[in-house]
Amino acid sequence: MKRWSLLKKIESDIAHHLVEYCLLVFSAICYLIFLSLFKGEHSKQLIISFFFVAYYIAWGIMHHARDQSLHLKVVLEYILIGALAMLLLRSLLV
Amino acid sequence: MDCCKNEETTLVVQMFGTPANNNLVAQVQAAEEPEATTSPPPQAVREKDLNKVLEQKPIEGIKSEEKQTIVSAEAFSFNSSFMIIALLLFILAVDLFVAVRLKLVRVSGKNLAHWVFLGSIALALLIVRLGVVL
Repeated sequence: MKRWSLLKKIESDIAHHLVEYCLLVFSAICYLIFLSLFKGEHSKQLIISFFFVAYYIAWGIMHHARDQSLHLKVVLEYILIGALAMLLLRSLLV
Repeated sequence: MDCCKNEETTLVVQMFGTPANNNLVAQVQAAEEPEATTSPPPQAVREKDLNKVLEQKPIEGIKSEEKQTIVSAEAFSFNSSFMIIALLLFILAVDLFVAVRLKLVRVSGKNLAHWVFLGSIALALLIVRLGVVL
């Protein structure tokens, strides 16, 4: 019963913001394609990663602004997750 | 080598080579010292001591090289990055589960978006790690 409510919540969230989630998934796929295209060129991969992280933060802010749930805490959450991802990628790419 | 007869010479290796092992000399001297007080050591004993130390040193060198190759910095970085992402994904899953179960109304980011983002970062780490075969 609990599991169903969890799935229902996720489904309703996707249904409400289908276009936005599709955009995020599409951009993630594009990011991975570009990353594999520039395989071995670490500086270019790092730049692409930076743009993807920036896009993710912008996506989060836009998403919550449209949802009317934008808060400083939420913005910080997206920025921190993005920064952590960038840090992890940088440790491998530099 | 006729040019060097009866002349004081300096070995080029001795002149330009860096003293690789100062401890080696110290150990040889330490081995010599007790005997030096009683009687001056013959050349054969000196060579014996030197050979003994030389036999020990390369083994230590090989061991340190083996230690260096066991832990790769890149592999460690990749593994730790992957573990951090896996931990974050797990925490986000637990967070969503608890929030739904307790019916909490809260101000937070979308966990689904975080999953998509962190999942793509994990795949990116794999792509970067695979590198390119020249």
